[in-house]
Amino acid sequence: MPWTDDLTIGSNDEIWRRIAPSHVIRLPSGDYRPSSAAFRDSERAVSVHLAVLTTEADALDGYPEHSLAGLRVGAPRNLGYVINRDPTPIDPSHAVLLVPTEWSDGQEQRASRQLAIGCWWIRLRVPR
Amino acid sequence: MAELVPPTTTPGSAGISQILSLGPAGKATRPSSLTLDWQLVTSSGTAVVLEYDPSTSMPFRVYITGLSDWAERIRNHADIRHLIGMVSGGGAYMHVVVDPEWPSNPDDSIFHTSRSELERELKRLEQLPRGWNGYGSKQIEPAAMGRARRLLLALADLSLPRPQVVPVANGGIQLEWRSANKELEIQIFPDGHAIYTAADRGEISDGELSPWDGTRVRALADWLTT
Repeated sequence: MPWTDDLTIGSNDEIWRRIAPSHVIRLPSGDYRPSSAAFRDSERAVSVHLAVLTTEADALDGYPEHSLAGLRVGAPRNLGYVINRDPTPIDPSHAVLLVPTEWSDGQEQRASRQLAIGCWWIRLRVPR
Repeated sequence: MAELVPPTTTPGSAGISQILSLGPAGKATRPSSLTLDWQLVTSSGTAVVLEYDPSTSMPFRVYITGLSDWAERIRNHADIRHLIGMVSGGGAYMHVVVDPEWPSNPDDSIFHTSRSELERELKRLEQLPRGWNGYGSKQIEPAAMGRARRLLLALADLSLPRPQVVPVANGGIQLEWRSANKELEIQIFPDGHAIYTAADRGEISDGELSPWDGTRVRALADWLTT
């Protein structure tokens, strides 16, 4: 059954994604950006947090070295991802960006790169 | 001359493209067509060199890869031709299995100077626990690690900047290069297969990176540096 986009989540709503230290990349300009690998998970669904339902401190709780990146929901939506709420007992803000089943590996790689380019830092922790 | 006994073949392994046959001392010959009867692939899926003792027709030495060991042997033997010369000069009968991603001259490379640093990074990735990204990520798979090492060796004699080596949540590895205008990402999946994405400003191309096709790797390196 195809996934249905949750339209109760607005395209202007903000979502956050924790970024592991190994995914914080230094660009030739000296700026930092997440690797595209930061926007791919082990299954074809990318965990995110609905910003309106959490705080920066809660999103990073237990991850003292991770950074936090932000996106508008419209960005992944325009690329073809579907967003679904997926609250857990400890994280009511949890949601998932679902990768279309018909996408090739290359398409997912391209899309994850677009997310990495289009996001901004909510909290950047430069890796040591 | 005793007949050679084919070594055990491991189905599903990758990395063998060509076999160079050597006759008795000093008579190195390259077959005109590719033969895959003599495959032997290690668990890391990389190139293997077998030397045979002509009196027993049994392999008396097997070079198994693994980066440090492999690099050491390449450094000692310079390149395949040197290796052939050395062995054929000793009168041994051997088959050389050549991987197209095997660099011809790693000692001239940037990789050579930063090899230990890259190896440290790979070892660090190897030791990442499950869940390292905070979202249920997997440990890095040995097949991905082996392919990453081979690709890095393949690029060793090219004038490339040092890549960033990052883990992927599915158990794979990604190699990334960036210049002012270009980006090259090679994603290696847990089973060792690889794809690339090359971006030049807004123009993006991508595709598979077959372990049999060493020319594609070199073309990408050329693209990145021009």
